[in-house]
Amino acid sequence: MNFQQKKSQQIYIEVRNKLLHIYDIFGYEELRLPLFEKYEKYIEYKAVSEESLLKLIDRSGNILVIRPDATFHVLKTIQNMDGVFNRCCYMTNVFRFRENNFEKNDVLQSGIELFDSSSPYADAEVITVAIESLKTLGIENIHIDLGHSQFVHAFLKHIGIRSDADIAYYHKLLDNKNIVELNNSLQNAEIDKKYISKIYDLAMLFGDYDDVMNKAANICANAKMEQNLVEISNIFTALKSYGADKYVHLDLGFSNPMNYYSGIIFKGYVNSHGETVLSGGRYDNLAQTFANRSSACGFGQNIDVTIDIMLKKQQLEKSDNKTIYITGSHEQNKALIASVLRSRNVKCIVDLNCDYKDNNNKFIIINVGSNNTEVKINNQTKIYDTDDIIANKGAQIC
Amino acid sequence: MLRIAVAKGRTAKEVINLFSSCGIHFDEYETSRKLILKSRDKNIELILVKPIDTPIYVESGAADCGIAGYDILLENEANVHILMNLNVSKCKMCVAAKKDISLENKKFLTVATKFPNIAKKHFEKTGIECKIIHLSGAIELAPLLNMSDVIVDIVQTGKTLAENGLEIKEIIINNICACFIANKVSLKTNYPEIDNLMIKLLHADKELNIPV
Repeated sequence: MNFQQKKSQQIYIEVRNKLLHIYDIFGYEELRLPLFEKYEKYIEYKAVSEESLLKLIDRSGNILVIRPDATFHVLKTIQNMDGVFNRCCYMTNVFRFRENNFEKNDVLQSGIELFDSSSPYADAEVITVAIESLKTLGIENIHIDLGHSQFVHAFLKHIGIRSDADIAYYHKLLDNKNIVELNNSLQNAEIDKKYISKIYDLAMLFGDYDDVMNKAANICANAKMEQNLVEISNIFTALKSYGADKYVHLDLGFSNPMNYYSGIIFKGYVNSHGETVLSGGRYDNLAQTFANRSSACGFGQNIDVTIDIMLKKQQLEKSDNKTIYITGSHEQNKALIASVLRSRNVKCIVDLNCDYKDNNNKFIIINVGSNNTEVKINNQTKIYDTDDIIANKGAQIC
Repeated sequence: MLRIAVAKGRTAKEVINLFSSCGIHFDEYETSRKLILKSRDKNIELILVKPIDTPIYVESGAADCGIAGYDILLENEANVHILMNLNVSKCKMCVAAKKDISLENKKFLTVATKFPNIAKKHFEKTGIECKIIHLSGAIELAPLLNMSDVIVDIVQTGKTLAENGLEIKEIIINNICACFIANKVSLKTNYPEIDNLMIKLLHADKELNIPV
């Protein structure tokens, strides 16, 4: 085990304990999920693309799919359970084919599912658990994007895009905000001119709640889209009571051509990290088909990405910790300054032999004399009165 | 601060000109061989990368944005937002062959190219069976040495083709130019900065062709 692996192993244990604790205090119970499912059953589910499934063949010739996502197995597991069991969580591996890199095929995922409630407070609860599960790990700068899976769909239908292939095509372009190809396609498409600029607006319809809701009102073309906006605004009100609204922004250009989600969808990011850390939404249709439950909402968090974020954060914190090297001729003042700085929790090393030469700017160097003290930070030298520094407990340096 | 990955070489040169007409100057470019350049106001960092790698830097989040040829984005199917066309590095994707060869009624072709995915899709569409030879440069050599019937490559002026006795037989994609791309997360978390930069770029080149 190399150093990096050992580090992420330690972080994994911390992440696991903290996340399961958060799920627990919201009342979610952990489920153990099966690893295999018969291919024929899985193929009806359609949430994971065919080419990313990993399969194996058992001795009787059955094709088995190795768990490519957790939600399907949650639905299968709770199907036969008591109807009172409405909140469940999991932390497990999912397997999908990604390029020819088998290490990437195995992703650790955790998440929650909330069944049989379609109130805005249910959606808000799921989003709140998502935010809390990042906050509990000390992750800051959380950014949640909230959208509605039917908003884009309703718009495309409205402007006369009918065939499934075209709808899937425009969904993909909008989801990827591929303005360049949209531009090329729209020139040739038979779409009423007045809608074309609205398609671009739809692609870029994201940002703060108030701002996006104002702009969205102009794009709204029918009652269905208005209904979607009402749902979002109700959820936002609910999020306010959870104190979670400050992390949540809107993106109404989200879309899902797979017909997986039926209501809201959301994704979670952390500033300065380029990958999505969690995603989720409402999937009533699937819950009805596969588990005989009236409704469902949930999210999944990528633990591998979470661990990467935490590793990066630890490294940053480490490089921020400065070490002060105290040299100079006045032994008594050196000891005094070192002790006032340490009382501020700053790491200080006292140079006892007065022979330290810093060649690579690793430390902040303080040269203490009887009256004046030189402070050298990044090749810049400032001179302070020694007594002043002691009196102010080293405030000038920290 | 925004980090922007740009293909080094000619694209970088044109992009740096475009930036300086927006008032964003990279003084170190002419004088040094650094791969990371800071703008004069320190708000933008330009990373010079190999053209084919540009989308990888942006997709992984190592760079917030990037400027990459549309040909490369199509070939790699990168998972990034493609936000606008820039009028730099214009070219077209073509099928070319020796002057004396006719492609009419051909059922099978060997194709040498740097863009195997684009070539494969094109010939699937036109219904010609093909064998792809994936090369990484000097594609024009392949038909001259009878290694392939045709090549699929980007053509700017057509000078290299002409000098090697080749000519364009078919245009696959007209009007390829460099595109401004963004990492999916960075677009959200750095939107004010990215939006600001896009508006500046848009004004700098009036011919840019996206509606706003």
